[in-house]
Amino acid sequence: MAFAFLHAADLHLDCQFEGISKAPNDISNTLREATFAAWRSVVKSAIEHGVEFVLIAGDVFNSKDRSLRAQIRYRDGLNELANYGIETFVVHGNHDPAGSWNASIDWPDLVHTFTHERIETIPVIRKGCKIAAITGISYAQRDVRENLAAKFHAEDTETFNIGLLHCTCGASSEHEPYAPCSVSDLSDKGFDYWALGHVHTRSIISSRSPVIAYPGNTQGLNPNETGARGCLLVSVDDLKKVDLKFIDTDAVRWFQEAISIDEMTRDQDILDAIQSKIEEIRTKAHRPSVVRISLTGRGVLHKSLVRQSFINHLLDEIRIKEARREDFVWVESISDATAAEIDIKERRKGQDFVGDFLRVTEEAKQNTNSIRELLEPLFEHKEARSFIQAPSNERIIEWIERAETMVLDELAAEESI
Amino acid sequence: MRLLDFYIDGFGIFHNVGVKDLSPKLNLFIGDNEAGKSTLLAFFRAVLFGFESKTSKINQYLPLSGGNHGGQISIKTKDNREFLIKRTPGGAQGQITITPRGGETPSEESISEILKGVTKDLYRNVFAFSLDELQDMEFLQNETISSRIYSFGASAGKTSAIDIENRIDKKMKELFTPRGEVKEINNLLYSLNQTSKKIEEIEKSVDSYDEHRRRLQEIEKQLETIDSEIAAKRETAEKLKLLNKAKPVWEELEKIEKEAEMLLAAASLPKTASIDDIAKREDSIKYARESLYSNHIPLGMLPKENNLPWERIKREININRIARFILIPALLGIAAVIAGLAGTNSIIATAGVIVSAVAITVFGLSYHASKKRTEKLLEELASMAEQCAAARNTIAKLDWIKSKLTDIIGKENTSEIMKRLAAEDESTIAYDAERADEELTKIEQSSRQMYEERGRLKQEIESAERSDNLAKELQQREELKTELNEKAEQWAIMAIAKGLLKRAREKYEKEKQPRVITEAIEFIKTITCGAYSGIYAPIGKKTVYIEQPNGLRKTVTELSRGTREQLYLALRFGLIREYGTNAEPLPIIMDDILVNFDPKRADAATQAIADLAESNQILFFTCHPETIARFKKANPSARYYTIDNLSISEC
Repeated sequence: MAFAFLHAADLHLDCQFEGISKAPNDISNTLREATFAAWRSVVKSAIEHGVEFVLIAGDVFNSKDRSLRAQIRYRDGLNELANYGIETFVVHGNHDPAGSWNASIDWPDLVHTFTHERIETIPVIRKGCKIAAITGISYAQRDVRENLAAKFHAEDTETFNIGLLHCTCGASSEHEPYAPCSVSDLSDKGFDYWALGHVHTRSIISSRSPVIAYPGNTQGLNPNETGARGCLLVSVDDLKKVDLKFIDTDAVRWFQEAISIDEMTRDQDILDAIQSKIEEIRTKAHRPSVVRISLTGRGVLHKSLVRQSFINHLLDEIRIKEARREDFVWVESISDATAAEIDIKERRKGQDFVGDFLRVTEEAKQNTNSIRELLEPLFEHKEARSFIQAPSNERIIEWIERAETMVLDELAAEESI
Repeated sequence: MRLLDFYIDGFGIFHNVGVKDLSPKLNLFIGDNEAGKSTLLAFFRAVLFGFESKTSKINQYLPLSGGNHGGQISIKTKDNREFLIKRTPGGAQGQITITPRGGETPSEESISEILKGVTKDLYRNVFAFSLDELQDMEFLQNETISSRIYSFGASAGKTSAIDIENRIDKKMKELFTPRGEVKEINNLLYSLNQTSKKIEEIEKSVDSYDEHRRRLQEIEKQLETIDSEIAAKRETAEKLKLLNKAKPVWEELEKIEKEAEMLLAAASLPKTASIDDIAKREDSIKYARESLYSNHIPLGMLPKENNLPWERIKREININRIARFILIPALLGIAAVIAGLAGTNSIIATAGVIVSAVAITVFGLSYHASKKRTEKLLEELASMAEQCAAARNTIAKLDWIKSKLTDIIGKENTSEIMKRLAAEDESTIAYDAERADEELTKIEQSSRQMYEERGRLKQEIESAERSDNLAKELQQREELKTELNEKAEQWAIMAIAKGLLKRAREKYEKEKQPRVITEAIEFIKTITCGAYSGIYAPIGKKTVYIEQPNGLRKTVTELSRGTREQLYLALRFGLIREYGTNAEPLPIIMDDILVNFDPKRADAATQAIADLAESNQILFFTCHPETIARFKKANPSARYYTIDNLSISEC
């Protein structure tokens, strides 16, 4: 029997966006509600497409924040699905392991939350006919390093078998390797579809049987989670052939844009360039957006940009226009990675102090550990440590380059090199 | 330049003292304390650069043993020219006269020309110094000295590196100080901590949400049964209240009932007689009485009412009726009398008299008897009527009380109530009623409280479910974190810039040290026997670092007294060497400067001085036999002089 279901994961309900500061109330409200709006979109899509059931592959909440509102809104969505006779199958992930939910909330009957105690298989019966069987297990605690997928197996190979799991399939540098498994762990278990969760960026690891898919999160949560986010509409035909369709559910979309100052001559040019980039995004996104802008290149405008006040002023001017719009494009930040028009390569060969400085800088880029020591007073400060992100190597190198630019600018100001 | 000989005219304790033919290399002057070594050092300074002014705190060494203040020295320059330099009193610093050897007229050249620009200050600090000068921490602060030490070749950036570092450091400190002063980042950290605390509190309130839900369920379960409980309690209480109210009435009823029973019995009425029954009886009595009075009520019509002496009444009525018949003969007799008298029929009259007399007598007797009986009957009937009236009144009262009781207890379940009224005494009922009332009040109160609590809980649950306080605080925390990370990035870039500048500066300093320093490094290596291998003069800072072979750097203040003196000595030697390369090598006069050196380093320093004597003439003053021994070992060709008893002589 042909049927369809919805595959979502990583709702992270009530998780607050990273990287936003000084947003006015209206925008800040929209951002605060974004994960809920995305969840409502998932529910609406499921109803509109008349799916048989919805799969949620973990991380419904950020349990460490213990948001009650998240759980109520989640329940409300499940209730709505249940009102339409849509079943929901849920496994817990690292962000919402078993026992981290509030016990006193009543979940509708049509919700099946897999236990963490053992791998379970639940059949889906329609008109007395078994159309699918869903096998899954929840996380008992946050840190699951065991290969859970290896223990999965499909009991009844006649039906359409779905594996539902929060796990790390293959190598991932971005995400903690919880419940790690390989593609081959998933391949020969008799499953037709692996509904995975954990990786926030949509990824169809295999589009042939078994289909292995991460739908990604339903809402981007930080400046690095750019582009459309949503869930997968999975249609299964009589021959168990699977067709995937992506449905975007994000209420706010993230963008990262680079703008080069190479050709620019006036301060106004930067403002114009950012403005047109914003309009481009607005057209593309069709919804409120947040953009991180990085200014690159070499040029005369670098001199203006080295002043933090110039960038702040730029931000104020752009943001004020967006503050009252419903389809706002909020500029998260403008970072300056521009440099003055000097020939660093040539100067690096010089025997003067600038030459020495540029050589030291180059060395530092090769050995960032020695640079980390310089950051310790703040980055290892006992109060600051928990709030400040430890920089990646790439970040340090970027900072070294910006420090280099800063010093060169200062030296240039002193003696006009 | 070197000293050939000197002559003291009058200077301090010395008068008319001189030495001829000084060694071009090393000369040792040996003298005990107070023999005049410091005076001799001051003499050379004074001849070359003038007397100390009267206002300065430095000893002027005015002649104590006679002679004119001052004296003279002969010198020979590198280019083998000889001069006689004479210092005589005159002016603040005295009068200097420079005459070429053998000539009569004073030289055209000034002393500073001959000495190639060496100033008094430089000479005093570098070329002619005692332990006091060697120990002077201000040595490096001296402009003359520092400008020589730090004279770098012209290179872009180097002079401003320190300035830039300082500027960056200032900006960094505006953002953050590790010890929590009120700086931007410190403020953000404070706000973050506050927000985190709030979040913790809200998260704790989620626990109370669960507790509220549990309590609500409990209350709702209790409320399910409490209404029926209240109803039952209310019924009990009301019943008891009713009993309490009915009890006195009931007791009166009891009493009246007994009374009525007695009265009814007395009136020979049935126990169940109603008022109507009694009225009937009364009517009968009335009828009976009236019958007796009138004697003409047909007997057959007399009621068959029980308990009335109807037979006697009938009989009485009958007798009365018969008595009336007796009156007929009497009347006939009277009539006969009247007729007899009238007809003068005495017989008839007499018969009439007899008949009437008999008749009247009989009538009179019977009437009397009958009247007595009738009266008795009437009395009986009256008392019966009285009894009946009493009974009727009582029964009426009884009925009234009964209706009063019915008013109180109603018409239902009366038997049960009556049973209880009969069974329980008044005080028990009153006590129970009070108890029941209290219980009712209590349960009603607790029910009200539970309803209130339910309302409150529902509200709290609802508001907790709706509340976006947590989200707001979390958002706030993210915002603060973002701001903090932005500021941290600014700080990090500055920290890196500062660090890189410092590294570049150190590299530059290491690779492009001024000649003074490179020369001094050779000396410090020698003097410290290799304990230190480097000296760094940071750009723009009037200080130096001394480096151990393992790379550890120390500042001047971190050094022991001996080592610091060794460092300063090395720097002086560096300066002397550097000076000597492009100017006149000047004679060096040292006043017992090795006293703080350990024997090993003193040996090494002595050797260094002996070696330096190859390029610069040296006059070394000491009072220590071991110093003399060291020099004897280091340079056997040195010349030795004793300062003793106001004279100086070679030995």
